[in-house]
Order: sequence, then structure tokens, then C-alpha cells
Amino acid sequence: MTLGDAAEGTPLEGHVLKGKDAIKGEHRNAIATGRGVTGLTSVNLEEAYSAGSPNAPHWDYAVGWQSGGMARCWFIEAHPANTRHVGAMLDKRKATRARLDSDAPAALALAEATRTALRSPVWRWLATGAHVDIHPNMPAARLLATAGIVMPARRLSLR
Amino acid sequence: MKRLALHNVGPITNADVTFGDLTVLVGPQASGKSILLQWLKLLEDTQYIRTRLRQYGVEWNGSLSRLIETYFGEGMGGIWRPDADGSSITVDGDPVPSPETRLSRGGPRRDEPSVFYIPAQRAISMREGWPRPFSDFGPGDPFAVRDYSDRLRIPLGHMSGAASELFPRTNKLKAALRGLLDDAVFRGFGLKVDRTHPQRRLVLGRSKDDGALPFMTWSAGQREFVPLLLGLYWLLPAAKVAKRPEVEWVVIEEPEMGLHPRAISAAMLLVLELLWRGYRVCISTHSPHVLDVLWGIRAIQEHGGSARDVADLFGLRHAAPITPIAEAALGKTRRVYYFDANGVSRDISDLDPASESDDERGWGGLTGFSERVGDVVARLAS
Repeated sequence: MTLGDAAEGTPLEGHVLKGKDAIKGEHRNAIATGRGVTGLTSVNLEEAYSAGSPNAPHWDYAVGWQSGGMARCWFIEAHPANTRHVGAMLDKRKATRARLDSDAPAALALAEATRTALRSPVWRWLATGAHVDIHPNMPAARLLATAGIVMPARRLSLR
Repeated sequence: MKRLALHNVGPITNADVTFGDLTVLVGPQASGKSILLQWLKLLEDTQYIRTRLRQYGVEWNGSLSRLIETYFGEGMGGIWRPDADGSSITVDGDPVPSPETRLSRGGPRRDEPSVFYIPAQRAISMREGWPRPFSDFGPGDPFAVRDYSDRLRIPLGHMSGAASELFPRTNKLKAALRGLLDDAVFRGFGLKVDRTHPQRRLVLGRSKDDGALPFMTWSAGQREFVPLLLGLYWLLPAAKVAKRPEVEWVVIEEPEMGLHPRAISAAMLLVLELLWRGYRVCISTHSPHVLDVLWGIRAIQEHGGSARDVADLFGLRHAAPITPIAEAALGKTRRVYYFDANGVSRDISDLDPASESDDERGWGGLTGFSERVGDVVARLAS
């Protein structure tokens, strides 16, 4: 089941775009595709959910792809990488997970399968701005890890 | 010296270090950090080393291998490899064509070092609570250890009367620093010279009436820190003179030894004071807390922060007492090098936690483990 399949009949349907089309221009170059990656699609979760709950915190994007004969999915939030924003990131992740669990559980299941197959977290923080002001020894980094969010990175590589 | 490069020396394959006002070397054990720092002293302080060795009846002559063994310690002569692609040294971009000639060349007597070297083995410089003299060590012990221990005896030997109170002491260190050290290291105990016996010794005690605690009853951190403090006392003259004029460099191996992170941050504030006084400082470390300080100062600079932010870094409520030190720290150059397990150095001065280089992002392995733990926890918590 691809991300497109998982989106059918959910608020995400109609927002699944080819390649990185759902991703804002300033973030596209920071998301790279590794060798063997095919069938890339993306969803702007903010747009997909803004109609129903415009003020709720949402994670920015879901991306789906295939590699090694398996469908994959990550959730990507582009955000300044500063400890001041950790609370907002935790809120966004919690709200988005609850929303997906409620109305797009297949997308969440796809992410769960990706986590298991790649042995890698699926909630990804794409660092925007010039500085990354969080490092792994900080309590903030541990808070993120406990919430299943990886340390911010300037580039993400889908594999 | 601005830059020192070593090729095929001991565990070092290629190390090329451009020094900042503060230079920090990180890397696994036996990757060559200490060897590079000792070469810095050997090249800068050749006449001082010759003078000191001769004072104690040690000959400074013979082959390069013998000179190296005399200086680095027994069994270390082999770090210099004379074969085809053998050892070489470059100083400020210029190869040193014959290190043997350079080291064995005579020169004027020199009684004070240009490089004040505080070795990692500083705790063994104390016996029965008093620094050991040069000749108390074996002839095969490293010069840096023998010399440091012996030099600690100079300030202690001149102390008498009220001056025998070593910590806290109002004319030594700023009050804010004393407070940090008291809180983090001494915990309300004072350090003093006990002269109730013919043999002087350093002891800890809360008051005159309390019993004195001899060296072996101290915590591991106190046993490590006191020899470091004594060296720093010598470098921080109480008079109006900012620094020892003859000393340009201070090398501190592993300032974190035995210390809780709060004490490490206090030690790092002392390092900033050394910088403010005009010394160039080189540190080798296995502590991410040391790099935390450098990373924090860099971030304060980049975000247009101030001395107040530096004070916050050290948990100081009032910035004013350390404002000159903090402002100086923000104006100093800092370099960080990672010595990898293959003996190659890499410049990781940016300490960027999002760098695409594993070495820089993981701070030369010091935070790499934390990152891996975080990834495992994040994966399980996803």
C-alpha cells in the first residue's frame, strides 16, 4: 500500500501530489532521494487539514516512496532548529498523530511499517534557517527522541 | 607558532593543526593528541627543557630517538620513524629539515617555560599531599609530568602564615569563580597548607577547629582538581600583572578529569580567564561539556549575544564580575580538531550539530553516542 492508496477516502485524498509537488519550493532541495527510490509522492498536511481545523498544530508534510519493493512513508516538519521550538514540535507531532490515527490510520500504518523495515524513526525535523541550535546531549534532544522525533537535519535523504 | 603539522609520528599519520587563541583536540585514546601537544612544547621550549634536565643531571644529547625518549618517556623513542616515508614535522608551513639538529642545538639558559604544560597525570604529582620534586620521578617518566610536579612546589614553598590558606583566598580568582569552585569542587571545605608536622602537606578542612582531611581522603575529583588549581594559581598572578610575561601558551590535558559537569564548567571559566589574560590555551579532552562551552560561545557570537549570555552559560546570576572575561572570550578565535583512530586530524571547529560530516556532527565521537541513543529511542517511540 502506497501513500496514495493510504490516502483514499481520507482528508488527505486529493492532496497527494506527484514527486515533491506538495512541498514548498524552499524545502524541496533539502529532501533528496537515494538510489533505488521510485514513486515519490507528497502531501501538504497543513493544507489537507486546514479546512477542518485551521488553528490546530499540524506537521507540514507526508512523503511516500518505494524502495526495495516496499512502500515507505515519513512525516517531515520544516522548522527552525532551536530549543525554543521543541514544545511546538511536540505539540504538532502529537496533534498530527492523533488526527492521522482518527481519519487516516492507513497512512500511520504505512509509516509504522517503514519504521520497522528501515529501523529508523519516521517523524523528521527538517531544519530551516542558518543555525541548528540543538545537539544530541541536550535535554531537549532527549525530549524529542522520547516523542519519536529525530534530531533536526538540514538535509533529508529518502532511502 | 601558528600551525603545527606532524606526519607519521607515533600513532599520528597526518595531523595538521592551526592554532586559535583556544584550541581543543578531541579523539579516541592513543590517537596522538598528547603527542602533538608535547611536540608543541618541545619545539617552543627546547632551551627550557635542556636547562631543566641539566639541573637534575639528565643529559640532553644523542640521537633524535634518544632525545625523544628522554622527553616523552621510556619506550617512546620509536614514535619517530626514520624510514623512507618516515616522520616529519612542519611548523607554520615550513618543514623542519633536521629536528635532531634543532633540538640538540645549544642556546641560552632558560628558567621559565614558554609553554606551561599541565599533564593528564597531574594527580600523581602529589605524594602525601605535597608535589613531588623532579628527581622523585623515574628517569623514564615524561618530562611534562616531572616538570609540572616540580613547578607546583615553587608557589607552595613560599607560603607562610595566613598565606597558607589556598582556597578560598580573596586575592586569588574572582569572587564569582571562587563561588563556582566552592560549589562544584570544594563544597564548603577550605584548602590549606598544614604545618602541624615538620613535613608540610595540603589538607582540606571546614574550619580551624575541624580535623584536617589529608590528600588520600579527598574525592577523586578534588585529588585531580587541586594540582590543576595550583598550576592555574601560578598562571594568574594576584598583582597588577595580567600574566606571566614569559609564558605564551598553556596546555591543559583533560581538564575534566574526575570532575562533575558543574566543576568542568567552573574549570572552563578558568580557561576563559586565561584567554582574557592573554595566554593561548590548548586543551585535549574527552568531555562534551568542554565543547558545549565552545559551541555556546560560538552561538552567542553568531546570534549577536553579549557577556550576559556568557554569564548565563555558566549559571552566574550577575554578569558584571566576569564581563571582561566574557567579552574577551567572544573576541577570541577558537579551533577544534578531531584526531581519528587512523591518526588523521580533521578541523571540526564549527561543531555544527547538523553537519553532514559525522565527525563534526558527532563532535569527534563525544556526542555521537548520544545521537545514536537518541535515534534508537526516537525509532522505538515513533
